[in-house]
Amino acid sequence: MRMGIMLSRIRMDEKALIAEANLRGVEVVPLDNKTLVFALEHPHLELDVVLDRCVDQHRAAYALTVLESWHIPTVNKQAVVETYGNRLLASLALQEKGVPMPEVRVAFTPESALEAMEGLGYPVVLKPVEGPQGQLVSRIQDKYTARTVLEHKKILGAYHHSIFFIQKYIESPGYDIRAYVVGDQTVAAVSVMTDHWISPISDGGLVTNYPVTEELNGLAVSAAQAAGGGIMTVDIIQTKDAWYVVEIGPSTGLTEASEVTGVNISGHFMDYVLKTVQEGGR
Amino acid sequence: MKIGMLLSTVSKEQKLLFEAARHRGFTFERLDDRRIVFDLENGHYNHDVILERCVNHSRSLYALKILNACGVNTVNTYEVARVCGNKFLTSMALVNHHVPTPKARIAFTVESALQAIEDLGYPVVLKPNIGSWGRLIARVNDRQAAEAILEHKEILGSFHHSIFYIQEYVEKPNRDIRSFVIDGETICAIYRYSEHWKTNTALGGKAVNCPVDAEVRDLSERAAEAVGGGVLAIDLMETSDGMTVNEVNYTMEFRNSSAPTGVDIPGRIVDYLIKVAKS
Repeated sequence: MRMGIMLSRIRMDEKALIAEANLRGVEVVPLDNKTLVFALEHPHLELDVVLDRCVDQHRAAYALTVLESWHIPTVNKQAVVETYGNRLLASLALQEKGVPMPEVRVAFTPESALEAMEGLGYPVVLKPVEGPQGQLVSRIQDKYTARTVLEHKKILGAYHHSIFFIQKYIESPGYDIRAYVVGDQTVAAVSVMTDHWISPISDGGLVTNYPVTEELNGLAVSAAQAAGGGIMTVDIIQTKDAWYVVEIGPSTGLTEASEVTGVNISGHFMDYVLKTVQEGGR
Repeated sequence: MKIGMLLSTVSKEQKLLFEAARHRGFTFERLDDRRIVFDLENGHYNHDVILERCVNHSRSLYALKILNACGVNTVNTYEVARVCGNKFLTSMALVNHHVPTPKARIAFTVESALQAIEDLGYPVVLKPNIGSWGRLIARVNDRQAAEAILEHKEILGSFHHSIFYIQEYVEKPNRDIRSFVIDGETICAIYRYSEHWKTNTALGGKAVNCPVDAEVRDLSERAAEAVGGGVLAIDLMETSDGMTVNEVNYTMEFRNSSAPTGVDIPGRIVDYLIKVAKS
């Protein structure tokens, strides 16, 4: 079996995935998205499946569109990457399935965005509707900051930075939970603790094992399924009386999470990829 | 006598200047910065003086550089435009001439800028080093705001938005002072009132006459001299420790200032041009 692994850089996570593939007798063909050229007229990749590990979600979504049109099974599916690559689409998907999440407002001008923020009440979190996890995620404490950050986005940013995605700020208990979902199962979860209010796993936070309870598993899987299923991470904040799904996204930080949980997460990923091929990519 | 005006659009200010010229019996030769092409080898300009009224700072700067290099008198000069169009250079000029001005810091990375901001203490004012009309001027109240704004500048802005100019926030009444200095003399001043902490009349600030007392005169004329003189508008702030110079503008707007002060600002500008042309 030949598996393409689409990536821009081979990080520790990709090394682990390739090793797990080799263990299962899978031939791995690296597809570097920096050199990849697609000829739309004729399919030119002889592959049984492609695993997407791109950092850039736009490249991933376009490449997966081509691969799907060539009937090559992919993990994840294009529609799933498109959904979690866009915070508005992701929120809508969660909302539709009744997954608990912070209140969201979307507005298109600094004036209407300001009104939306005042309506939600400070602090709020302003996020780019698309973009790498954690980047340009701003906690807005007051009207001054709101006006200024909105102005910077409008004047300095490309047009999509004026699609203002506003989330109610949820006070975390000092840590976020990141659940690793594979198909219909949460295979592992970690808590990420930092001094900073944003706690992306790659940013030097203290990562420790977090027990996958039935409740956590149910919430994480329902979030992943809402986005269309596959393998992904679900970021959760647990407050005194509620759980909130704050982000869903591509799976990063596998190496560290595997270490602290003792779970072979990349092994689970490869089993899921093999299962996808056996099921004919469905 | 051949007097030119370098301009982008014909704004209210330009119309007032044309009228003032007509009263004095001459017409500006218009040099439109959207159409002008400078020939560096064979350029020949026989103007006695050119008044610069461009909207865009970069265009002013390059045009003035070329004209001055060809020996043409300009109001203002390239050197004045270079200093006033750049907040860092303005602060340097004021500090070097011992003109009171708010504390300022320059830093080149998000980390060093954060350090500088925390050293000055919140709130601070973060300004684009080059820019006008109050655009992107940010009052930064706390660390979360500092991080958010610096990151937006670094990631969304072109490289020069990562030259971080940080100024201490100065408590002032709900107004500041703009004085007009021509040829070393303070001809008038206005108070700019605003509910917002930014008082730019372009942002809706209200203009009222401000009597030119000894302090306004002294600071305005020293600030004008520090940046090289010419036709300038000085922004002053009243603080508990006396007045301080915030900025110096080299292509100022004045449409809202003649009426409250009763001073014919365009007329005074044109008179100065005639004087320079004859010199």
